[in-house]
Amino acid sequence: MDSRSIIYGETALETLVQWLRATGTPQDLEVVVQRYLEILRELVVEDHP
Amino acid sequence: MRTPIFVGTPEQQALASEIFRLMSVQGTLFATDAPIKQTLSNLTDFLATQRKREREAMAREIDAALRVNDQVFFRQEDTETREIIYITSRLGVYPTQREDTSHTFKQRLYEPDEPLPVDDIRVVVSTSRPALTTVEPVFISDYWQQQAAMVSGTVRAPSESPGAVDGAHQADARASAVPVQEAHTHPPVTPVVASDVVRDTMLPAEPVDDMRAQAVSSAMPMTAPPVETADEEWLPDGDEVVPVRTELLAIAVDEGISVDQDASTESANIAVEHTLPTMPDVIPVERAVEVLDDVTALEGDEADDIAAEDTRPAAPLALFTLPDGTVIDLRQPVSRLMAAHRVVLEEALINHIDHDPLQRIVRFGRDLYTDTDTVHLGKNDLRRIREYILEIGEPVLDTAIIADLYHSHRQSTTESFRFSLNYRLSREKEFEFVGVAGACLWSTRGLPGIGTRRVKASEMGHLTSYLVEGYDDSLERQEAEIHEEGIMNRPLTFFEWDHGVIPLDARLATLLPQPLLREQRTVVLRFDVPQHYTSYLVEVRYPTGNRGGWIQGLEEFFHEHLVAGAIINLVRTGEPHVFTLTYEEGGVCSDRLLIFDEKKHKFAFANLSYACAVDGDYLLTQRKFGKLKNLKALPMTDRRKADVVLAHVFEVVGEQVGTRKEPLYWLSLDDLYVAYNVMRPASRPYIESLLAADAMYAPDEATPGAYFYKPEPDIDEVEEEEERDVFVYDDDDDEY
Repeated sequence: MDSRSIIYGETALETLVQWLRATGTPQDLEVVVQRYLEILRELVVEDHP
Repeated sequence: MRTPIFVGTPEQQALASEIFRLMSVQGTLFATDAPIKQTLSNLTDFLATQRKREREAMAREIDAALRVNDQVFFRQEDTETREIIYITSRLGVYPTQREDTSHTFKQRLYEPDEPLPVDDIRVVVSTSRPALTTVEPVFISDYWQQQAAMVSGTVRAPSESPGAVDGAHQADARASAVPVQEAHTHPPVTPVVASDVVRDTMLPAEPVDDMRAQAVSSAMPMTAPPVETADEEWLPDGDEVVPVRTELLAIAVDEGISVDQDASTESANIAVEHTLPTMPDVIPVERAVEVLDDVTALEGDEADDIAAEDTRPAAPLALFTLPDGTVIDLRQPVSRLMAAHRVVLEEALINHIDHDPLQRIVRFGRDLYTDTDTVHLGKNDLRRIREYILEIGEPVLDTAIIADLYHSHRQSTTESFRFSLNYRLSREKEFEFVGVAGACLWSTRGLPGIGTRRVKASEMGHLTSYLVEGYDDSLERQEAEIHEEGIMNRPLTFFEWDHGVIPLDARLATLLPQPLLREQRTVVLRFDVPQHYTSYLVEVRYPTGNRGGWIQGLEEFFHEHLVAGAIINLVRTGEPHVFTLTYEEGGVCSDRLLIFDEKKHKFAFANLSYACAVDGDYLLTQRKFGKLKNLKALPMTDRRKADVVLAHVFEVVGEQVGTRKEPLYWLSLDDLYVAYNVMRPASRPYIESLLAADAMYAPDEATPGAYFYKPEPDIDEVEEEEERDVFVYDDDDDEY
C-alpha cells in the first residue's frame, strides 16, 4: 500500500475495530494507538520486503 | 362527448346516429381520437335482427346512410376479405392516421448525423487475426513506485534509436515496455544530475568490474526480478517498434550499491550511481541502476534524452503525515514512534474516532471499545442508578453501582460491563461524571451541593483568575516534595479558612489528580481526617478559560478545628480520589482572632481556642492586626476589583504618615499580603504586580519590602474625616 494514501484514523480502522472486538475487553488508548501503528506498518512496510 | 351533425334523409340521419351511438359504446374505454372500427356485416346482422328487416336491404340502407355521412364514418374496404369497414372515433370524426417516418431509430442507427470517416476498411473490419493486447505482467513493486515521486533522477529509455535495435533488443524492449510505461505515469520527478548519466551511458561496453559502479558496495542488495522475454510473434512490425531498454535495479540501504553481474551477458552493463536526497527521519538510501542495453549504440544526444526523460523507480517510503503536519515513518519501531509522538498520535486517533459517523469505536476517558460490544442500559436501568445515587446521598463509584445493582448480572464482573456503564452514563444528561482516572464517581441531579454558598462559582473563578494569569509562585518551594512523596503543606489564609476554599494553585494542582474527561470541570474527592475520624467530600473546580480553579467543602472542618494561619498537610493515598488531610497539633491556645460576623456582616475579633500549630505571620490576632476590624465587608462584586481591595486595605491597615489633606499610607508587603487575603485570595506576585501597575503606589526605598500609598485627595472625604473620630477600636466587642 502506498503510505501517502494513508489517512490516519480512517485507513484500516475496520481492522482495528476487529482487533478491538477480538480482545474482548476495553483497551487503553496507548495500547490501541500502538496496535494501530502496527496495522499500518503491516500494510505499508511488510508488503515491501 | 359531443354528438356530430348527420346529413341525409331523416331516415338516414336516424340510422347514422344510431350506428354512431353503437360504435361509441363499443369504444367507451378508447381514447377520444382512437379509431373505432366496425364491419358492415356486423352492423347489418345487428340492425336487421333488431328491426326485423331483410338483411340485404338493411345492408344497403346502412351503406347508403354512412356514405352520406362520410365526414363521420370513414369507409374502408379490406382488400383480402372484401369486407366493408367503417371507422369513426368518439370525437365524431376519424383523423386519417399517418405514419411519422421523419425519424426512426433504425435510421438513426445506420445514418448518424456525424458519421465517422471510413478511410480504410481495416478501420471497421479486420481481416487478420486480432492481436492480443494483454502483456505478460511484470511485477513492479510499490516500493519503486513510491520512490518515483520522492527521488530525483531520470534515465530515459532509448526510444528513438531507429534501426539500431536488433531482434534481441526488440524482445528486451518489448518486455521492458511495461515498467517504462509505468514510470512515465508517475508524478514528475526532479531529473538526476545529467552529467553523471551521460558520462556513464557513453562509456564503451566493458566488464562491470571496470565500471564506476564497481566501487559501490552493498550489504543488502535488492535486485528486481528478471524480465521475461516475450515470444517473437508478438513483436510489432518494422519501424513501428518502440525500442525500450531493460533495467535491472539494485538498491542498497545505508551502505552502498551492488551490481548484479549475472543479469545479462549479451549486453554491456553500466551502473549508474545515484545518491538519493535525505528525507527527514528516513534512513539515507543509495541505489544504482544497472542498464543492460547496448548503450554503445546510442548517440550522445540520445544519452541526453535518456537522462532527461526516463524515470527510475525509487526507494520505498513509509511516511504519512498527521493532520498537524507531523511526519510518521512506519519503518521505525512502534515503541520509538510512541516515545516521540505519543501525544500527537493519541490526539489524532481520538479526534477521528470521536468524529466517526459510524461510531464503531466508543470511548470513555482513555478506554476504547467497540460500540457493538457495549452493553445497552435502558431507561429502567438509568432510573435505578439515579435512585441509588440519591439514596446514598453522595457521588458513587461505578464499582459500587455494579456491586449493589448488578451483582446478579452475568456480565457484572467483566471490565466490558464496567466500561459500558460508564460510557452510557456519560451520555445521559441527568448524570455527571465527577471521578478521576481509576475512580469513576457518578453524581446526579438532586444531590446536595458541596462547599460554601457564600461565594458563587463565577465569583470564585474570577477571584482566582490571577492563577491562570501567571501570578502563581506556589510551586517554587515544594515541587520535589509533592512529586516524590505526594505531600503538600501550606498555611491557611483568612479567606481560605473563612470560606473553606483553597485556590487551586500549581502546588495543589500538582498534588491532585487531573480530570479524566476532556469536558470535565468538576471532580469530587474525599479528604480523610484521621485525627478526628471523619472525612469530607471536597469538590475540585478546575480552571476554565481565564477563570482560576479552587477546591471547596472544608468550611466546617476549618471552623471546627483550625484557625487562619494553621498549617495543613495534604497527602495522597492508594486510592486516586482519597486524600488524607492532617494538621500539626499543638497546645491549646486562646486568643482574640479575626472572624467575620455574618449576622452583623462585618469583621470582628473574638476569643477563639485552637490546638493546632500556626504560622505566626498568618495568625490574625487583635494585637497585631487590630485595624482589620475596620475592613469593610465589601460585596463580592467589589472584591473582584483587585485595585479597589488593595486601596481599601492600604487605607485601613496601612500606617498614615501623611497629613489629612495629603494622606500617605505605609505598609509592609508581608502585612499587606495577609490583610489582602482577608478580603480575597491573592499571591505575592499578584499583589506586587498591582503595586507596580499603579502610580499611586511606590516602594519605600528606606525599607525594602514596604510600600507607600498616596491616594488622590478627596475634599469631601477630608471634611468627613475631620468630623469623625480617627480609628479607635473598642475592647468591648467581647460578645464572641
